[in-house]
Amino acid sequence: MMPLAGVRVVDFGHVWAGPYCAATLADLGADVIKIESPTRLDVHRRQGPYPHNEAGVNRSGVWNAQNRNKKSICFDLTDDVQREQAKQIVRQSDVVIENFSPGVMKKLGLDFETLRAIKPDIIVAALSAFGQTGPQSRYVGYGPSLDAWSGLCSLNAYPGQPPLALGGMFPDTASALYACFAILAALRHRDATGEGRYIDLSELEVSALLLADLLVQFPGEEIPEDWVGNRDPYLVPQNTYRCAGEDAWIMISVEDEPSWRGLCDVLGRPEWADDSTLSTPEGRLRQLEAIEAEITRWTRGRTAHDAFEKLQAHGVPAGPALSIPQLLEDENLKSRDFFREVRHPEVGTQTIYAPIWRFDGFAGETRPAPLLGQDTENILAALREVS
Amino acid sequence: MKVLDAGRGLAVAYAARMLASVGAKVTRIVDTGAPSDPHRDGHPAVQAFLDQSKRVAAIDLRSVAGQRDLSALSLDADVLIDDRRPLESERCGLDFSSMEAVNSRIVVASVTPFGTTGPYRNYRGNDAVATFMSGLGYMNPRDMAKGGDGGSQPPMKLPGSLVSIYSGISAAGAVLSALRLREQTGRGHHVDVSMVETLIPTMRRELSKFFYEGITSSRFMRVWKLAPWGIKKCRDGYVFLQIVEEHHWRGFVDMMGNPEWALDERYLDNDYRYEHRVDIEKRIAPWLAAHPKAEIAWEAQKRSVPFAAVNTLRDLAHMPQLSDRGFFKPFADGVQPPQLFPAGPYPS
Repeated sequence: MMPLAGVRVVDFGHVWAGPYCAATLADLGADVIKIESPTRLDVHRRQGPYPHNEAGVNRSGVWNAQNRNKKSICFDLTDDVQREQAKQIVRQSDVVIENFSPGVMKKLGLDFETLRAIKPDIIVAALSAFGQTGPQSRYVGYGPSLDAWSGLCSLNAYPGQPPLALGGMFPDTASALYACFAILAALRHRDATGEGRYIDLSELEVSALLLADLLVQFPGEEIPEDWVGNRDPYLVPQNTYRCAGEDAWIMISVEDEPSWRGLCDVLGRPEWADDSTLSTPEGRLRQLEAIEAEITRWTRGRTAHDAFEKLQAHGVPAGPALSIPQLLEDENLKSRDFFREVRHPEVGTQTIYAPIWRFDGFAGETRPAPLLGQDTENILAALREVS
Repeated sequence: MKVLDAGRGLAVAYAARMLASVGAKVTRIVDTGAPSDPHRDGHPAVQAFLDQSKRVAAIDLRSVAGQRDLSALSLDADVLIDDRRPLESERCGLDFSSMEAVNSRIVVASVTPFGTTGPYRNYRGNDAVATFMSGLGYMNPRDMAKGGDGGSQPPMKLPGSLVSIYSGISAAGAVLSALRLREQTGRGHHVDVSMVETLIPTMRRELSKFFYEGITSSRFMRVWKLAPWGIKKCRDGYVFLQIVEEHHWRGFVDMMGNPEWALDERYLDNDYRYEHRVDIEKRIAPWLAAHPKAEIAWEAQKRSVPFAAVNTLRDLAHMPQLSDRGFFKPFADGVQPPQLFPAGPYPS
């Protein structure tokens, strides 16, 4: 049994945030129908990497990961007949997800008021860079723009150095997960009251919320240097240290007294554990240079994995900077079958990550992403039956 | 919906806060027998923000009386969220089987660095450790030029408590999903949220690059082969330049007052610009240095050029977009001095 069995979602999403939100609902067992335009394909369908370097609308690695567990139907939404058919699908659905620029759904004649007239309790999640309203709602930008606007970049820096571009795609993925939460809450509300909901989610606001604790702690102030980069004023020492091998590093983060004692044991400096001048983060900060020199002396001669196991055995929070190939070999992820293989009809075997939530130990199925328009005929036939 | 927030750290605190925002009655269980987590409880404003509209029950989970209080609270709770390692959860009676024995309909969510199964289940981790073990540390920061032996450019954790809050957002969704599952099964469920696993889908592109091109992404890989591109210094800080299309370049040249050199038609081609990016950056630097970030971004956006200001958190407080949507709201009574907290990310 799956949490969203019996829930139908129409996914008008493209690129990143909308499709990931819909994929997460699909992972939970929702019946997700992706409506794709045959003339304006999702940019990820048109971008590699492709298996065997062979391009094709059904072959994109990113698209196929992003759209697993979904169905695909091709509609040209500027065509009156096909737009009406799209509306009929909405009539039989619970949730609509879109991440067009503000105004596009209205231009297509698919705005919330129209959809609500068709299906009074419909839940529409609209994900946009800045929100549907406000002076910046029409601003343009690509992927990492919001890392800059939201303040995330400003804290991504080496000590005393300029801000740097961020790894990951947090404005999009965090917005997708936030929208998932909002949709699940709206479904509860609908089941209790019969009311639908319009969710005007701003990716800028989600991104700023990722720094919520600093926003409330330093209202309208500059963030002190000890919050920037790998350090943390509460956790001393916390930093990344070089290990044996090329570009091999470990993160060590001393959280409390037991982990400080554990680190002293590992380093062979038991006297530090009993030194009262080192018993607090502030005290250790004053002697950070000596402590870090000792840590580096110890890590340099060891592989990151070896250092990790030794530190963890002594109760010290630590973890190597895994590269993607190392991640795929990670024992813990392997034992949880986090990376799986699915058979895709056009690209063959594809490695894919499991759904991110496990219910009673079970993470749910992963079916391959749909071929472009593969379900058009079946869905139209089902619509004809209903009408 | 009654929720017990048994978390010690920020992730669970944030997840429970989100549940409170949609009407859950949340009781925070403070374990008086264990030290507090400074990221949650180290600053009064942070604590007030995270625990907004929560009740607090102070309980010593290692005492008999404490266990009795915990049972009483669990009896009519719908959800308990915890962030302890399985070993500790069991010791505190917060694990799913202990909870289920008291209340067969309870949903227990575990938010831990590595998940509640597998060889690392009892290992210690946090924000920074989860970032590194998810693969993200290795590729953060992005777009670095490799200098020397890379010694001065180590992998970096993600800003602030981003990973905890991100995991909290994930966990809040996981809880609502498990409640939906309960409606169908009539019984309680355990939902396992691993911080590392929650982070991995953010690297879809990098995973694909490895699977299909054999390329290992790192800090030293340039993701966007475009120019001008990236974070550049300006008068009062930094701007993020993005020139993708030809009209972006034309717009930028216009912003700079159409200097002679930039009118060379060859610059309309991205490949040409990319090849000459160092030279272009030198030529645009004086103009950038003379203009503040907000003005550069505004003038660019007027011309549909996708530049962004690299805001500091201080800048956010004055950002018209955020004030227009009412992003910052005053705390309810009781917090002195009166402060603002971030609301959003959608109008309620």
